Order: sequence, then C-alpha cells, then structure tokens
Amino acid sequence: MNKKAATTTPVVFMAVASLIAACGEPTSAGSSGNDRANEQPDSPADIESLSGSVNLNTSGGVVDEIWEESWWARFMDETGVEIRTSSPADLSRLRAQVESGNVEWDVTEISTGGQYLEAVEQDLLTELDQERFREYFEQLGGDGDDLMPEAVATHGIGHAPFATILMFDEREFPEGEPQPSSVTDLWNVEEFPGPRCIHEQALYNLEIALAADGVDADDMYPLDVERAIGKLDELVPHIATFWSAGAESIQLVADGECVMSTVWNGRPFGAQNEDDIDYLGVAWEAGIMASSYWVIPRGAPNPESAYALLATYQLPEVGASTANQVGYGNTNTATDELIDEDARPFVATYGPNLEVLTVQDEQWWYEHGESAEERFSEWRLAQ
Amino acid sequence: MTPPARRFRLPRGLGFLLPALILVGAITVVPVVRIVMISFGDGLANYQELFQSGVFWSTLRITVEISVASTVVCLLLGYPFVYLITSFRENVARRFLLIVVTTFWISLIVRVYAWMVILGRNGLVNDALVGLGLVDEPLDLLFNRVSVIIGMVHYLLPYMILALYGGMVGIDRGLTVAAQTLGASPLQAFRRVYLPQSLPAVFAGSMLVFILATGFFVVPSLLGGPGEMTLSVYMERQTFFLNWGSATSSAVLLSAVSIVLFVSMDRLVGLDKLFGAVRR
Repeated sequence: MNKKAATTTPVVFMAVASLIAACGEPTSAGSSGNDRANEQPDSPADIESLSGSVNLNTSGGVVDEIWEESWWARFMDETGVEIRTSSPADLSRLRAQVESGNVEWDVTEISTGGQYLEAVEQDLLTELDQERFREYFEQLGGDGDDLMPEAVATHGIGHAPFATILMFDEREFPEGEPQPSSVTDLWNVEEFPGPRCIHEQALYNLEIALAADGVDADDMYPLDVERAIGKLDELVPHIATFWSAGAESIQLVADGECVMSTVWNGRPFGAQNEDDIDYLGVAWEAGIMASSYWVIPRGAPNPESAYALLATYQLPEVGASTANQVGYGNTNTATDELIDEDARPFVATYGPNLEVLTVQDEQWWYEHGESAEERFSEWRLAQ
Repeated sequence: MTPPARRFRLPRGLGFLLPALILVGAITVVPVVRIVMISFGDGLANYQELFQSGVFWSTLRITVEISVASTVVCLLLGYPFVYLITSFRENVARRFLLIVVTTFWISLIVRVYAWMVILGRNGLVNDALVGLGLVDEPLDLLFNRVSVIIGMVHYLLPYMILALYGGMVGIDRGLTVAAQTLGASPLQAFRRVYLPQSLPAVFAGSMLVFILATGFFVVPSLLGGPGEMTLSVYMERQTFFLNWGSATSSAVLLSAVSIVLFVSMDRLVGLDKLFGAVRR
C-alpha cells in the first residue's frame, strides 16, 4: 500500500465516525438535560411555562385526522407547544431509540398490554409522576375524580379500550334473515357459509377459539393454547386469508374476499362514517377487549410537554370527539355522557358491549405471548 | 501481452468517492455490523434457539421455494424476450428495454393491490369466467402460492431482463449462422453455440432475482394465504416481541445463504464476465 492510501483510509473512517457521532449529538445533549428534569421536577407543573415542540408517535390511520382537530388543536391552544407526529407504533424502534440514547419520541403509543409490560420490564419508559399528571390535567380543566383507575398506570396512560369483534357482510346476511350474533359464529359454517378472514396473530384469536369451544369467560385464563389450536383447525377449510392491518379487514369484506372477518371495533364504524360503507354488521358476543397505552420513552426530549399532552388526551371532550366518529374514547368516566346516543353501541366500554366481551389478561400475554405466537405460526404453516 | 509491472496507484479524484463512501458506511455498513453483533450477542445461543424452531425451518423452506419458483418463471419469460430483442438493431432493442424499465415507476404496493383487484373473488378474472359461464362459483385465485409468485414475478421480471440483456447483447449472432452453414440444425446451433455463451447471463440474472426474492415482505404478506409465511414475515413477527436475537440471526443466516450462493456461482461461471460484457 502506498503512502497516500495509508493516509486516506483512516480519514474515511474518521469521517464516518464523526458523522455518526454528529447524528447522535443534539438529542443526547437534550436528553441529559431532561434526565435532571425527570429526577427532580423542582419547577411546579405549569402549562403556561411549556415551550418548544413535542413529538408524538401514534399507530396512525383515520383516528389521527380526528385527533388533529380535537386533541392536538386543544393542546396547541392551551400550551403553544407545537406537535409533530409520526407512525406506526413500533416497540422495536422504541427500544432502539432508548438504547442508543437517541430518543426522538416524547410520547408513543404501545399497542398491546403485553408489550407495555415488556417495555416496563426492559426499562424503556419514564415512570409517571401521578401528581404531576393530575396537576396538568386539572389546569386544563379536567376533574381528577373522573379518571378511571386504569387511566394513569405506573408508566403509561390507558388508551381507549378496543375490542376484536366480528364483522359480517349484510349483503350476504341481510337484515330480517338470520345474522351472526357472536364472534363464535365464525365456526357456524352451516348457517353462515362463505370464506372467513381472521387476524394473523394468536393475540386476536385464541380467546375467541376457546369461547367457540365452550370455555366461559371466567375460566378463560390461563389459556389452553392447544385446545384453541384444535378449534382453529376446524376453521381452516373456511379461512380465505389472514389480515394484519386494521384497514385490511374492511377491505377484505368490502371486496367480497370473505363474508365475515374479525375486526377492531372502531373500523366498521369508521368505514360507515368516513367511507359510507353501510353493509357491515357487527357482533360483540365473545369478542376480546384489550387496551393500548400512551407512554413517555425514557430520555424523551420534552417530558413536561409530554405530560401535558397526555393530560389533554384524557379530557372528556377529546375522548368524545373520537368516540363519536371512530368508536374509541379515552379512560375518563365523564366522557361517556358526551358520546352521541347513536355512537354508543359502537364503543367497547358501552355497558351491553362490556358485558359480553372477554377482557384480555395482559399478564398472561406478557408471560406466554411469545410461545403462543410461535405455536400459532407453527399451526398456520402446517396448513 | 501483459503491461509492464508498475506501482499500484490510486485513481485520481478519489475525493469524489468520499461522500458516497461515507454515506454507504454510515447507513449500510454500520447497521449491518450492528445486526451481526446483536445476533452473536449471547454467543451462539440465538442460532441454537433458531435451529430448534420448527417455524424457522418452515419459513426458510417456504422462502426458498417461492424464490426458486419466481426465479424460474422470470427466466422462462425473460430469456425468449431478450433473445428476440438482442437480434434487433440496438436502438430498437433499447426502446423495448425502456418499456421494461417504465414498470419501475409503479410502486410495489400499488401493483399488489392491482393484483388483488384482478384475482379477487369478485375480481376481473372471476367476473369474466363466471360471466362467460365457464365456472359456476368464483375460483380461489388469490391468497395462495400462485398469486404470490405472480406478484413477485411482476416485480422481478425487469431485473431478470436487464441482467440477461447485459450478458446476451454481446453474443455474436454470426456464430449461430456460421454453425448452421456448417450443417447444424437451428436447434443444434442454438443449443451448442448460443446457449453456452448465454449461461453466465442466465446465472447472473437468476442469482440477482433469487437474492431479491428471498427478501420479499409485502407480496407474500398481502397476496399469500396461510401457508405463505416467508422468513422476512417471520423476522417482523420476532421484532414485535423485541426478540432481536432471533430476528437478527435469521437475517444473518438469510444473507449468508445469499452470499454463499453468489460466491459459488461466481466460482462456477465467473459473474465478472457478465459485468464486463457491457464494456465490449
């Protein structure tokens, strides 16, 4: 190697190294300042004192458009802090950000309870200061007594509960004739023939399969995975495909690829409101209710604004605006009264719905989720 | 023949390469090294766990099956096309290539959804078949192995054609004519004179398409049915549980398979011939 090459190579590496260092620099400087803020919140919670911008990461979709007008507009009015949004909710990226010390999100959604517990276990989240949250909430005009017990968890804010229910095509099973009345009617191929679509993960299937096999909601946990798989085996000849994104389930039924599909409860309601798709019937019986969470990543650049943003989310007006349009509220008891009469039947926490839903056991899924998914994939691949 | 030995000298203007080197280093090399490091984070534990997982082997098998099938179909469609257009004058051939390249303008997602519209139960094909009275019930054309391969071939065919063209445009057609004047039948002339010369291009094109195919995610997950879970879909599933060890070791193994294939093909047929062909 000649002299020139010998000098060039290190230069290249130094340049690469300094570029990488430069990428990490601004945020790591920011987060070290915030660590101090996390440990000793010496300044009182005051929405007037907030500044800068806050990065919010959501799971995306139609609900973002509603939030923009209700939640985010309200927050910006109250605080003057600008909101930048991104999606989708991805735990893997959260971990990558926290571990590299390069945290980009001030608030992110975590889509399942099991994943939330996993994130707590891996120390990826800021522990919430309950008092501080309530102070912001009350400064915004909320009443702390209205918050449901699950509204403020140790490391996150309870998002709206959502349910995995059955959606069917009323063009196939019109009103006046027998219609599916339970998610377990997926198995009722005699009365309701035609292809079915189900979600691609065990998480949105096992409880339904067990209910179809006659297990009561009270005896559901711990889940008997093998029994559920056995029940799913019966369904195999009738499964057209598996869906993953929420919009896909609507698409599959609208296109006639399947006559019924499991679905997240806000989707058919949203499709009706946003896209005038009026032939989607739903059945709640034996559906699965679960929650997602809003969290503040450890080392978030602007944690004070994150608190205020989450507090705004729990305001009843904000929850009602989404519930009225897509069927997801928040975890504030005062919200229920503000939900329109005709939207209530589409909300998971609406009394008659709540009665027939199975509430998912987050702890079980946190402990056994991975092996259950592995078994589910194995089953899927054996077909 | 060989030029006199001289001191190796760096090409002038190396500085122009620096921005590209830095970019590739920062956004490709560093992450790849990280992935390899994570996969060996607990020694070989991740790999041992992976080898014991039935799902891993199934998805690997499915990935290879789908990739091989897509490659073969691309070759069967691409070879005759390139054989034909390389017999045209170069400016005419280029026009055909331009048409092939324009398909890159359509995003993969749009194409996948287009296939869903075409192949669906109420799609164009089924509507036509039912309307003509050829079938009573719509056929299940979507969500199976065939629909995945159709979607993948649609995307991969231009790569095959471009690779084949690069290698086959330099083959002298006069040689086939000469063989025929010496008594070979057209088929013999093709088999014994043209085909052997085109093999490096065939291998290179197949390799390129196969390696691209092994990484497909969107097509199998949207056009596939229960049995079309490929390794990339499996990896995505693993990251859902923050199981980085398993996801990264799958990625490393998949890359290793591609690299081994590439190197052995290179040894066997010399892929440099292909990349050199354009200079002729």
